[in-house]
Amino acid sequence: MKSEQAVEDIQFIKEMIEKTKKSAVVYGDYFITWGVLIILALLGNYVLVYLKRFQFIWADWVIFMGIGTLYSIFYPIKKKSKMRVRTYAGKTLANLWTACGVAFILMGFVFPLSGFYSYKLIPVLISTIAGVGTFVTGSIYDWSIFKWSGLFWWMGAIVMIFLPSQYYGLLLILLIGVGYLLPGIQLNRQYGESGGSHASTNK
Amino acid sequence: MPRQTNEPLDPMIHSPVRLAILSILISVESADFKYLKETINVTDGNLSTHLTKLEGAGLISVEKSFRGKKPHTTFSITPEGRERFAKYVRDLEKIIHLGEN
Repeated sequence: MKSEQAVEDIQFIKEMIEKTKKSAVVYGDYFITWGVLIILALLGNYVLVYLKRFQFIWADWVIFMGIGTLYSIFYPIKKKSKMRVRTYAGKTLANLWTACGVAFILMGFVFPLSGFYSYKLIPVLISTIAGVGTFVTGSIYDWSIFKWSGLFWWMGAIVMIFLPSQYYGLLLILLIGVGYLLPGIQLNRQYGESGGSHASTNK
Repeated sequence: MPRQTNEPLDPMIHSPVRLAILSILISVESADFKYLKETINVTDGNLSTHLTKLEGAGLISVEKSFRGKKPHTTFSITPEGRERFAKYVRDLEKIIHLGEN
């Protein structure tokens, strides 16, 4: 075998590995659904504050986050039954978002409800964790839009330090729009329902 | 023991379709027949032939299950397949290295 042919073969192996690695198991509608649920919860939060029904704010979040949690449990089960390839990247991503979900529950409900810190800290901590999730997602699949989303979430968390707490809701809506909905829509446009790159290779 | 540089490449892997199958399976937990077929762009018969050869050589394992009422077959690389694939890549790199000198 000539070395030129060996180089071609190595290149071919690399191409196949890269193509398979990028077979996405993440679906844009997952991010879109969560984005919409959080926006609805924020709007509910706003209405309850406006009506001075502060005692129902926790219920608002528990309802919408509960719907999101059920969706996060059953959606992958539904998709898994149709999955044609199981990648290590997909498994890593599922573990990453499960870890983020646990962190969201701890930081958003458990710690503030136990009086460990003020509820005003919740958006800052949630934005920081959301930034980790989206940035690492972007890094695993080399999706720059998710990396930028991660940076945007972190910038938002920093801005919150200097912002009066009554504007947190507005900022969060903006962050969710850019950090969840936009990349989710982009992902659906790019990969559609199949959720992967399946370009054919002739050899 | 170092390999001889003029030793031929592993004939079980040294085929375009089998090399493609192993290149895919090396980077995933498992893949089904349809995925392999569409990614490599070969016919059902051609793919089946090569998958049977790889399975017979112990380089890949096959898992048959049902999705609803439809049979579903997935393929994974075995530890031996992983080892032989890695050796194949090392041999290719050796050839390239020799060509450069």
